Amino acid sequence: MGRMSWDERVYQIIIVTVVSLCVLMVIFPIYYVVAMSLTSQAQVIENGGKFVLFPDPVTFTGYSLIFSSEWVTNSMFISVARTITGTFSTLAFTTLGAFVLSRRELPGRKWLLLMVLMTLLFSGGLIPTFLLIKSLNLLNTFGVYIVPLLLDAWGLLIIKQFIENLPPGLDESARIDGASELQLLFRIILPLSFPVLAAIGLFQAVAAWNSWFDALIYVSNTKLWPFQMVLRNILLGHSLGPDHMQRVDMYASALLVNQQSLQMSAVVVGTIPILLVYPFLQKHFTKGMLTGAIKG
Amino acid sequence: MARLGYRLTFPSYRKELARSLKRFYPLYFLFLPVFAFLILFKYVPIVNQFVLALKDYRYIDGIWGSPWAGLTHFEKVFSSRDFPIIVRNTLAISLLRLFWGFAPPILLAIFLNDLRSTLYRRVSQTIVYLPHFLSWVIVYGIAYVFISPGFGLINTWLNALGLPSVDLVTSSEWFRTIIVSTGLWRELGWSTIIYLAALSGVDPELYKAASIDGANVFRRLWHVTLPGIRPIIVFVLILNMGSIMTTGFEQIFLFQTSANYDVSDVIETWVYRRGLIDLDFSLATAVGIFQAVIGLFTILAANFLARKYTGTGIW
Repeated sequence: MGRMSWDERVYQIIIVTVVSLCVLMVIFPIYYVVAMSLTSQAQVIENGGKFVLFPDPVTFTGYSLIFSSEWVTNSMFISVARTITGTFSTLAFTTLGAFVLSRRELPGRKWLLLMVLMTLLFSGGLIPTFLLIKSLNLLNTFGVYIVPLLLDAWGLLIIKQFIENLPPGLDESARIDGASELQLLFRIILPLSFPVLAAIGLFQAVAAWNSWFDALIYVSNTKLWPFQMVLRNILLGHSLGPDHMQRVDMYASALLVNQQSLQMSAVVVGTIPILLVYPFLQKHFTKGMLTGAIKG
Repeated sequence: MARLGYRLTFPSYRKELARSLKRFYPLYFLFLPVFAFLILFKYVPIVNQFVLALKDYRYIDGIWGSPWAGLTHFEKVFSSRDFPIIVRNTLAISLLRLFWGFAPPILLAIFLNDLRSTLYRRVSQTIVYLPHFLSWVIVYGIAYVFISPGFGLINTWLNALGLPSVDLVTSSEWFRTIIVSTGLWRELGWSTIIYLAALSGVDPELYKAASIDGANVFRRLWHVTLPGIRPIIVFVLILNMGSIMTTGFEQIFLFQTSANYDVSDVIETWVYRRGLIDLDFSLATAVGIFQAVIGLFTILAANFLARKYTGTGIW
């Protein structure tokens, strides 16, 4: 694989440098945050209040404090619950819509499709949606994390596209065999759609784990907050408990752990589920998403 | 639909229609929940949005019972001091993002594509896509390590070089820079995907032909690669112009401080504060409508232009 000429060699040097720089700029902050979360307060003090690149000894005090807070662990439970329930219910709901709209001979299909497309262009706005949720008595309930999100319009379009691209012979043979539409859906379409469903499902799960905006607007009961909301509170230095008795800086002054160390532990905890799911995401998304997105 | 009426006069057509409706009846039934969802959660708020902005909302009366106010809220909005500021901030951030965020993904995509080692390319891609999947709260947490006034890394490094500390958090002059940079950190990798797909579509024969003609690597980049992905570049550019009125609430909300509202307050955060905190529902909704309508117009215009110049649009 010998390099052909000097200009190509220079080019390779340039691009390897640039790509490596980009990789470094992603890795370094994440690494540093992890290092901060594992640094003992003693080491911080002896370093003049600053953190080091290589914590020694590696201390997990930050993490144990995080997990000892009932408020925090409760919010983790809420996040996991909403991720699992939300992803499955949204996926089921959306796939239902995608399946129906993939039936080309369905009368009125164009109008129904238009109904879905319009929601991508124009929304009801923050206030009217809030008032609706309020009037449906969904404020301060777990349901507010699930019900308003049941239909993923983008996901619907992608899944619909995928189903439409399945071999047309399948529909025909199923119909000849006398299968009803439901049987067609469950016995044939769904098993074949697994790749796209997995891809959309994984994206849904990531979004569910990461969400905090709906909690900000709809949920004032801090016991119902998802993890990212609690994380935000921790980062703002507020508390590890809703009663503000466990202010984050109190831990620092108790010399148990540096305040920032504690905060970074929380950040890392928020990142771990994403990292765990990431290899699976990688496998699915380039294929599934691209075909849906680029199709003019 | 008119033809349907005409066709219904034919008995054979009626029979056929009845048969197909019978066949499709289970499908409509399956779709019913989706339809109900769309009406309730999407279209009811749309209607309410317009009604709400034209009324003087009173909690007791609800949206429909409150007295009509006509265009007073819109008048108030357009003549208020805040309005030009938040519109300016929104557009400024969108345009800065566009300006700074436009070329890097293209370059990175080309570089990734041209890496000799497939292993290194795959590893780099994996790493560089990651920030896109982190929540804004996490990105804020990571960014704060760098920009915080106390022990933030940037100030630490500046001081080590003998330079004074800079207020990157509450100052007005650095806010837009921070927004654009953290946005870039998060999205750069992910934005390369569409360009990587486009690059794989460029005919390799063109490269061979160019190098036979004596073009070196850089000329090949300029004359083959870039023109090859020009449609996608134009497509992405136009589409980004289409969402110029939106800034994304989460990032701005997390990074803004009351000290720098003069640059950090955008339409969406202003609507949030005035609407849900100050409870000035009608006023905030009026601004929301303004944003949605302009946004709709820009995205439709963008799609039209994209179709016209590159042959494809979003729909």
